[in-house]
Amino acid sequence: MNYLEIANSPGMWVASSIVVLVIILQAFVFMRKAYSTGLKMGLSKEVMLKAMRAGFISSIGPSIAVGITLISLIVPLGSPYAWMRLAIIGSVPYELMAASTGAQVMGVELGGAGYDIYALAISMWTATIAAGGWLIFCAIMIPKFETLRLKIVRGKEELLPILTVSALLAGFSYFTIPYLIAGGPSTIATITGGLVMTILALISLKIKWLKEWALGIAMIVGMLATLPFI
Amino acid sequence: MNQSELPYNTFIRSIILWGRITMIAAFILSFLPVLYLRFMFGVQPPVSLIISSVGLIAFVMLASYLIEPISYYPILGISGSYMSWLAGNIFNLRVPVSIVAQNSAGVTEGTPEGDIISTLGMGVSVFVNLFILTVSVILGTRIISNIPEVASAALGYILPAIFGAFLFVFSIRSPKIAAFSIPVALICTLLGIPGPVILLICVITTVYFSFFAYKKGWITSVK
Repeated sequence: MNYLEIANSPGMWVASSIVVLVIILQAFVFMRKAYSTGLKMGLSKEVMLKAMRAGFISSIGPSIAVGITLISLIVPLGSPYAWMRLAIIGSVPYELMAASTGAQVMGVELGGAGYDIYALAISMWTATIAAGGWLIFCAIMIPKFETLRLKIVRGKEELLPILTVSALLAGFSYFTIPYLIAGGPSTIATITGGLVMTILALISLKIKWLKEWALGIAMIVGMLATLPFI
Repeated sequence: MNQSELPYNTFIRSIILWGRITMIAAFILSFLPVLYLRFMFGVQPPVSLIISSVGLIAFVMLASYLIEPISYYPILGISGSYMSWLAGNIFNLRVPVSIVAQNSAGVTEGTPEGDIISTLGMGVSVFVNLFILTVSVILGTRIISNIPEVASAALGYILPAIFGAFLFVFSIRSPKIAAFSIPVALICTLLGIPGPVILLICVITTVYFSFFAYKKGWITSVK
């Protein structure tokens, strides 16, 4: 039996879906608590619904980008497991690396000749266990990070937003630079996305509803700008 | 103690409890596929091989395990961290959505109000992402392999467009901080320093710089 038949079997779908239920549960519980707490904190229903709508609109583009990368996991690992791993952890590079490492330890290449159901199994075991590095570490440590965050600002609360924006700029600098200096369509996409977003951000000071759509528009225009160069 | 503190603290306490439960439950349940292979088909690779491959990948990812959760924490907060580390796709999806949500609500990042709004925005992103993933998997290989090559190549540039968008916008909002963080990231990248280490260097130096700048009065606020 071709290993992919097992990988794509209804049983695998069931096995892969259970975790996704937990993710849905977490999102639902967290949102409900946030909403009721927000009301008690003086945030209005309108503002919170607006935020959710903005979240909805701005999730679509990046989610489609993730959906495109799904296929690189489906081909070697089967649809249900690929779908599950992008729903939890959600890092295609990590999944490919972990799955490949498992395969190589067995002497085959991921999805290559000789990659059979045992190779699939070891790929899955590897990715599943090693993801504990984040899941377990975070489950334990996250509250301690809050203590650390408050210690860093030494009680001066006005420094907290500055801390956040600094980390944001550091993070975006780190992620964007490789694309910016890569040259060709990569650089074009980065700069175009940046310019369009900036222009839209300025316009949306007057035209408020544009705020929710700015990211999606900047993304599409940035992407389209690469077409002459591909 | 001001009025909004008590409900928020209660919120945080219950988020910590639920966050821990859901992450640990998810980790355990994520073993179902491999257990399915074992108990339904008797497929069980030798434990020694599993240990080897886990050891290899864990060694490679060690820097990421330790550095990233701490580095992203000031951006994500407690509930954002629990959501993002469970559902993934942090800097390409959760962070952008969190920022857009907070911006449209008019709250400042890093504050309790920001945290509430961020949680709402990220929660929605979990549902949207799951829906689109499900649609993608159903449409599956057929449609995706029938997209003209140019289109699918272009789609690969969505990510730099998103990153560029946010880098520009934040640079305009906080130019002095950006004037520091961008060169640091550039130099580290050109030097070929490994990924997570660059992130750590960028975050630590940028934070120190902006605290220093604040003390000196070069920057006053980040609104």
